[in-house]
Amino acid sequence: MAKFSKKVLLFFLGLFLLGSVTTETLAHEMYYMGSSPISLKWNNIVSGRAQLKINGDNLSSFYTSSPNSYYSIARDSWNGAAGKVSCMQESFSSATVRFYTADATLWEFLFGLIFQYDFLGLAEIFSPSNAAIIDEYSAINSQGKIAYANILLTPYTSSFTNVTSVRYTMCHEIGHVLGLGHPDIGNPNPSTPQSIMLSSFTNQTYYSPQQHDLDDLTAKY
Amino acid sequence: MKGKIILVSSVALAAFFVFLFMTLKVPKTGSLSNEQTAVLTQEQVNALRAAYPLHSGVPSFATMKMPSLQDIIDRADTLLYAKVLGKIDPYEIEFSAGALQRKDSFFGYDLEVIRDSAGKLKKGANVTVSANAVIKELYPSLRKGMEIIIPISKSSFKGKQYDFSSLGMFYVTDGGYAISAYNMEDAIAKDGTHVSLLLKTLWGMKKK
Repeated sequence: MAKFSKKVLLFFLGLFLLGSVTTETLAHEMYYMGSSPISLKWNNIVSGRAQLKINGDNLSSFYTSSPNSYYSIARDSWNGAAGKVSCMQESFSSATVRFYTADATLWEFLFGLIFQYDFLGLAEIFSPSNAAIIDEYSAINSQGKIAYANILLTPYTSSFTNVTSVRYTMCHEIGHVLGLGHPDIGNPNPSTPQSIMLSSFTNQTYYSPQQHDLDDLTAKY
Repeated sequence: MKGKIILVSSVALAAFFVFLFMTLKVPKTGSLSNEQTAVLTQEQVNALRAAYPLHSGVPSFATMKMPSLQDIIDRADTLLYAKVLGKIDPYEIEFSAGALQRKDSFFGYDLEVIRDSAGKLKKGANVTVSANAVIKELYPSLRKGMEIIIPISKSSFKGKQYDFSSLGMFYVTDGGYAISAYNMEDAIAKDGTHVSLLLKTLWGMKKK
């Protein structure tokens, strides 16, 4: 009887271990080498929380006017997310996440005359050695650390479909700064339908991190 | 009376032959032969995809609202039918935007013009197209010797170089058929249409 119980115990222990391997959660990363994810995380972490210092003073009034500004909503939507993120307001000069409303000249420089009205926002992330992380190779060279970021927003505010698309875009770009990738494109991990990190805004009705995004943060941090 | 009938009949017959000659032997400018209006079947297009893969990449860090084919055509200065001569060496441009100082990398291709929809560039002319590397993932990789249809627009920054679009770009296959290079939702331009007909259709869409 004791021998039988031992076998049953071992069987369930085996099942548990197998389950813990196969249900391992992987965050949706920005870059993959083949199908292997390259994990990118915010460098400054205190008490398990990524510390983001975000400015609003280089944004145009479209993004910041009124107490419930798009900027405030985007910043606050990540603050405390999954218990893994702290977002603080800072001025542009001391921010580690630098919001900036581009002018028409910069937008053309980045996206060209044909696409300038189609791009709503751009996140740029940099390693502790000030190298831009732009592909899988620079992601590997960064040692997986993001030290600071720029989030550039379009000067063509009429390009936004509606209020939700503005909020979605700003919240989405902060997600990239935290190292989150698009779950729906070129990604070997399955995604849930609702995520603030979906590659394009297609009339979603939400504009804050979804359960999927919180799960990714928990897996990553 | 009989003579009049013969005269009228002769004139009518002559007019008929003149009409036949005009319509069959001397086509109007811009008209297309039967071969040019033929289209490839979906199976033929699918078979060509191994050599001409459909691109659907979007930049990893940017939020983009997908434009329509109509948007792209309207914003382009012209649609080029061109041959890819090769990739250009990547280069950098420094840019000062208030508090932001930047140095961005650009990539692109040298092209030889086969036909220019706007009629400004001559056949055989060389044109360089380029784009900022921040949107490189939006573009398929082009090979030397490929023939393409490509929307281009004169850039304010890059001297004689043009901006170019991957959306509204087509590969031209052997036999002169065009298949799309980027996976767009628009079904205005059908895959497997002859290049002459496609150019005429696309350029006809442009709001003058």
